[in-house]
Amino acid sequence: MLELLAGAQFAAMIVLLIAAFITFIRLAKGPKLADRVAALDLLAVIFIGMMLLHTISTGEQVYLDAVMVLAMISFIGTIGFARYIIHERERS
Amino acid sequence: MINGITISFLLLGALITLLAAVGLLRFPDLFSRMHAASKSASLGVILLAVAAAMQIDGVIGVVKIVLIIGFIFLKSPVSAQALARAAQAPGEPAYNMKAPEEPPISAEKSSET
Repeated sequence: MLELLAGAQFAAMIVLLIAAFITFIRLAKGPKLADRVAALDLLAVIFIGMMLLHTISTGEQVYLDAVMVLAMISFIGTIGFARYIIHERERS
Repeated sequence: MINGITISFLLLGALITLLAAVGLLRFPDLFSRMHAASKSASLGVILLAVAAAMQIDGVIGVVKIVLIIGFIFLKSPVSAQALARAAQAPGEPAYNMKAPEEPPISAEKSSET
């Protein structure tokens, strides 16, 4: 059962890496700024999942503090970009 | 038993997060992309967090994970709503949807409130 658990952690990490790669494609491609900001938002959530997986596999609970801070402040950047998009549209 | 539940939650959470990324890549316009990305990504990460809460020992870690779930549950709709409201513009092309006549939110109005 423990080997199965380690294998499941490995498989979940691989799947999250594929998800991050697909999100990077949208980040590079996105036709407008808002698409790129949405991709960055999803990327933060995927990295939160990766750090949770790392917490499971190492047993170190220090990573949980970093995950908590990342979950707390990662949306502030998105809101700042939203304000920036509104101001750019007003100026043009 | 606990390990089996953890394995299924891990795989389900990772696959739902992958689904969110595929939706972000494949959908035709910004609003449906954000519809895919914000909701299913938060569900996938919450499943991963529940799996982590089953594996770690100690009460403090479980409390931290509950806080993480709460923050993700709060932040995902807030950022999606702010971004979608900012992206609506006159003449903005959206799939199968009419562009609004005038901007629903302007800089002066938003700085007043």
